Amino acid sequence: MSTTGTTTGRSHGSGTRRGDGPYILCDNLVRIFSAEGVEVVALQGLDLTVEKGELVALVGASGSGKSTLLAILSGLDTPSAGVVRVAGRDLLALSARDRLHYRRRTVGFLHQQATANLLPYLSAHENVELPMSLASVPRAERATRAAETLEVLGVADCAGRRPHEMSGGQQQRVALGVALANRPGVLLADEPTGELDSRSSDEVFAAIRRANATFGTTVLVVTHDAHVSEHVARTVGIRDGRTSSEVRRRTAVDEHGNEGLVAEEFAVLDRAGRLQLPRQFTAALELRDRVRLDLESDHIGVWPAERGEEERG
Amino acid sequence: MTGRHASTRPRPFLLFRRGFAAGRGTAALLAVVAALTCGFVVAVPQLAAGAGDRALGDLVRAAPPGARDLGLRLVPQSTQGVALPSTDPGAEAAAPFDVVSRAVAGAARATGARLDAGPDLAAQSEPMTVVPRTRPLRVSAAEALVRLDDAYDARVRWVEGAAPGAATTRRTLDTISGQAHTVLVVPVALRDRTARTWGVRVGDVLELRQGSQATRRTTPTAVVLAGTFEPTDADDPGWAAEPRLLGIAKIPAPEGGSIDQAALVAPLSSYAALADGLWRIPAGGPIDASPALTHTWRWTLHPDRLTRADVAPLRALLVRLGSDPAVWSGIARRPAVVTGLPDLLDRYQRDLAVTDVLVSFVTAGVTALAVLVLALTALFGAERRRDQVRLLRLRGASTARVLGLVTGWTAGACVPAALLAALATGLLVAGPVPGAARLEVLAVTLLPGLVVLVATWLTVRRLGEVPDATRSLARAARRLVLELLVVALAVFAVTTVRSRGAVIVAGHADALAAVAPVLVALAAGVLAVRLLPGPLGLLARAAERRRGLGAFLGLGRAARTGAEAAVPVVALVVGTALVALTATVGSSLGAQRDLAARLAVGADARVDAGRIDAPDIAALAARPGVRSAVPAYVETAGGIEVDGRESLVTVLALDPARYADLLRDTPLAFAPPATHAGGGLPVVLSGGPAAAALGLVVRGTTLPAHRIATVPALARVVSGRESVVALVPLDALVDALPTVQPNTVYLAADRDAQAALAADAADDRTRLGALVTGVTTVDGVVGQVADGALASFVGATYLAGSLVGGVLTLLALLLLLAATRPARSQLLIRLRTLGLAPGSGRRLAWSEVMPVVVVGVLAGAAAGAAAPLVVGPALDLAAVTGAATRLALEPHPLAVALAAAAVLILGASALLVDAAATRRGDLAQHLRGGDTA
Ligand SMILES: Nc1ncnc2c1ncn2[C@@H]1O[C@H](COP(=O)(O)OP(=O)(O)OP(=O)(O)O)[C@@H](O)[C@H]1O
Ligand SMILES: [Mg+2]
Repeated sequence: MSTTGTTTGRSHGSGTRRGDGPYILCDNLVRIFSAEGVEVVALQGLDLTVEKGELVALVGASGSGKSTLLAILSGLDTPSAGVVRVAGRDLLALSARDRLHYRRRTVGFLHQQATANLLPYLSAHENVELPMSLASVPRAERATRAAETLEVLGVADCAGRRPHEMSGGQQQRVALGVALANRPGVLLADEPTGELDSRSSDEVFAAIRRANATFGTTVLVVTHDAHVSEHVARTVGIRDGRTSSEVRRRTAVDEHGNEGLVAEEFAVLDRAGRLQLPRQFTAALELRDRVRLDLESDHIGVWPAERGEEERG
Repeated sequence: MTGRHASTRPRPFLLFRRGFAAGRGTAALLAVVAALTCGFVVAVPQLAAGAGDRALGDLVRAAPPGARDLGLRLVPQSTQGVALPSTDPGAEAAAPFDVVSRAVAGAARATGARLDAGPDLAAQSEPMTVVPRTRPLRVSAAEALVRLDDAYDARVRWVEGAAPGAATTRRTLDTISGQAHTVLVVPVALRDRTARTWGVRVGDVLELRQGSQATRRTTPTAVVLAGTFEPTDADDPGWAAEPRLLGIAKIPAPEGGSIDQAALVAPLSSYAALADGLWRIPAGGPIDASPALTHTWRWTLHPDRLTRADVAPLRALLVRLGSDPAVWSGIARRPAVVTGLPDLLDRYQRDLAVTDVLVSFVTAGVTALAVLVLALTALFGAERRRDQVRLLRLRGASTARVLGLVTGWTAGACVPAALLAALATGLLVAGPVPGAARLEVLAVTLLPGLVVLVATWLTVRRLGEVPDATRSLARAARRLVLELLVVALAVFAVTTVRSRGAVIVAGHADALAAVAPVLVALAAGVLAVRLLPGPLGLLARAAERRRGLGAFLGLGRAARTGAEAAVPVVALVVGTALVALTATVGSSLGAQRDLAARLAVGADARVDAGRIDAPDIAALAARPGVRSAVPAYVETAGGIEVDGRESLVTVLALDPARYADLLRDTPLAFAPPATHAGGGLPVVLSGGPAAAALGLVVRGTTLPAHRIATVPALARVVSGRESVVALVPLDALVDALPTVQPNTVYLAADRDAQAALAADAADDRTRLGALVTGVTTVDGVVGQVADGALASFVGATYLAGSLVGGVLTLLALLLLLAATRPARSQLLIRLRTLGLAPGSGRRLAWSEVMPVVVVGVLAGAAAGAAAPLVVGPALDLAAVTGAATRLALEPHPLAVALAAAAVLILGASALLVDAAATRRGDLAQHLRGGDTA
């Protein structure tokens, strides 16, 4: 019972199932804010796929659109254009009821500020029970599941305490418990460790990993913490509202038989064939305005426009 | 809750309970305001009903005897025309008392009218000249009437002799024409004091001959004094039926001097004997009531027992007695109904209606203001829970659930407090709770929750919404529609009230009239919020050039006052308008009461007499505190004749210049017009026909006169009605009609002198002059009116209304400060890091909040000043001012200015409180507030 919540079996209404597709799919996602007459394009054609059970870190400069993406995935906001599908549901086609169900059962959300994740007048245990009662989980099950959740996250001793009686790290781990209470398929965390010191931050991140491992939750976590991003298998970089790069890490055995972590950095090529070159690359070669491309048999070469002419000339 | 398991805690209410407890400060404020308001709006109409019940008693008590009782009067017509003397015995006259009393009792039973006591039966003769037969009188001229009445025996103590019995002896008298007339000598009684004054003793026989004011030609008769009495209680209202039983009335004698008048009393068993002497019915003639006697029946109403419920049956009874022939079937002569009750009941119902309207202004105003303040408090509380709402939403709470929770947190405080307070007040205070009060309680109970519901619903909808330019356009349009709606409603209410004012005055309390001032204030508030940014922006630009940074930033922020300040500003406007209106009505009541009293009195004080002589006038003028005394001849039933048509005026003959001087610096002041030559007496009229040449009717004589001016300020109120006054110089009138003598003295007297005069008159008015009949003072009249149940109730309600309005306005101001505080303190923290001097913070608050307060107060004062114009046509203050004619409510600039100043002071003190609270606030909390705001 404890992990059935993560499955996408409970299809509801219009959520079209695509059994073999990626668990999270964003295709050409656009979100335009218009406030006081100024239009801000927060997401400009973002593509992202995440497989079930993956733990992905999202990184990017401030204002690059990370929070916007998470808000859309959490079902709070709707994109201006594009396709977004989570656990087989088309988020653009959800009815109000389905959206509610989606928020209750399919996603859990974790804010940067612990206080924004917890109701101040409920104890940790009651806070964890709250989403369950909202989702009409039978009463008997709530207590056991809440206790189990707090246990897994290492804050069982805080069960009876109110938020102001806990440290920041404890608060954030309880908040994680709240987000995971209904065993959602996806956990979305927006800079969950941003306000914490490095030790607490490690504890919270360890808890996230544990949830990922124990409950099989797919995790998408926004972070500025290099320490964190270096410890996940996949880090997606966002620039100007688009996925620009990706780092994949895997353990490999070198020629001496030692296990080591190998990180490979990829640039993301979208479906329109667009590619963002890493800034340090373009800076180093002073690539500007126009570049020259050469198609070789197994790769594409990129040259500064003038230099390429000299070498050829 | 009977928990079967330990874990079966009422989970669904956990969130509600804990959330409620977390916001208990706000909840307590909501509960207190809601409870106080409901208590107020329920208690006021209940108390008004009680005051209304007492007011009928007041009216009855203040009315002259006769006007407040139900009286019947029968003067049988004689077939003969005159009484004829004779020495032959005649037929016995029969008193008509029983049959009439039975008819009235039957009518009273049929209509359900309650007549508390009676009937008191009496038959009395006209005053007749007393001719002593035993010894001469000690006074030059005396007249006596004989009253047949059995009620007096119980109210007297016999000094000499005994109660008169039946007539047994006969005596033959000579008439003026020398004919013999044999009569039975009727034993009578007289007050001992009167007997001593006149010099008559027990056993004396007095002949009674037709008196100086006789209207019936009666034959002489004789009485014998059987006893003298003194009243056991001279203040017993029973004596009021014939005051001459106790005192001697002085009437001017035709040939100068005065005639004493007193009443002799005999038992009703002497009816036949007295009737026979005065008007003999020839033997064999029809047995009937005596034409020489006036028969009266009197039923009295007990002022303390009368309530509103008596009005309708009494009216029905009066209608029946006056117009239903069935009542009088079988009665030969139908008595006339003599009562002032219809007028009194009319006046009573008008007074009640006016009081209801007056009171409804206060309750409607307080309700509106309270709802605004409650909504404000609730919104403020909801605003602080915005993060929680967002979180609940994120965790998958349904819209209904979120709305239920947030609304429940407000309603959970408001609803029980309001209902409990209303219920408790309804039970503790006696009196019915009218429908309007129930509606007001409902508004206080439900509207705050409703406002929060709508506000939360909008927030919840907007949580994930694209903040889109088109959407904000729609919102702006919605706001505009709302504002236009309020303004349109106000315009509708005002035009309706103005056009239907007369109907409302006539006694239809009107819901629209009650809310009209509130609607005007709301419209003013909406306009103020809408127009506020313009002038404040200009001010900010001016401040930018001239003064410090704090003033500029504050004014700039004030100019951009957002939606969060809209509700407090509207509440401020409504509060100021309410305080201004109550202050206006309050001061109008005082001023108009004074004016009404002056119109009735004619000066600070007035001494009325049969005739008043020069030494008495000099003595009055010499009293301490009396600035001046002007003798006058006043005839309230005088007339002016134009083209042969006479109209009734009050003739006021005095020295115009001295009278003008007497009235200077009072509301009655007038400039005496210059006399110019013309035919006859120079007359100044207060109104009436416009002709220049006219006849002035004084004492039945028409004197040639000409109008020299029209001075409307001279109009006076005479026995409750406005009367046209004809002012004529006294010396000129005396020249034309030498019998005219002053009968009134007008006095300019300070309050102490008025009080002393009234006290002396109550003590023994003859000390002021032999023929003095009464003293009236402005303070006395004002005091009598102000002490009336309705008047004092309205006064208290308006005082309470302005206090409640002031408190609620203060709350609105504090909430305005609280609503703008987070943004202000955030700005302040930012400015501090930029090196702003600490003092500038305070200036920022003042320059941000005070302009908003000033504009709100100005708008409220304007609405409050305009409100009298709006409701004036629907309002007749006569009920609570004692005025005879309709007095409209007028704007009172001073009262409005004072009210505005008071609210401004409240605003300043709210700022001081806020500053103190901020200063005392924990610095860390302050900084964190800056982080998250
Ligand atoms: N409600 C909004 N109205 C207008 N513009 C917005 C709104 N929310 C976000 N934006 C804009 O969209 C862009 C993306 O914002 P977003 O919050 O997604 O960035 P972010 O990557 O989360 O940044 P950070 O790391 O600072 O949190 C920004 O330029 C931001 O100003
Ligand atoms: Mg962000």
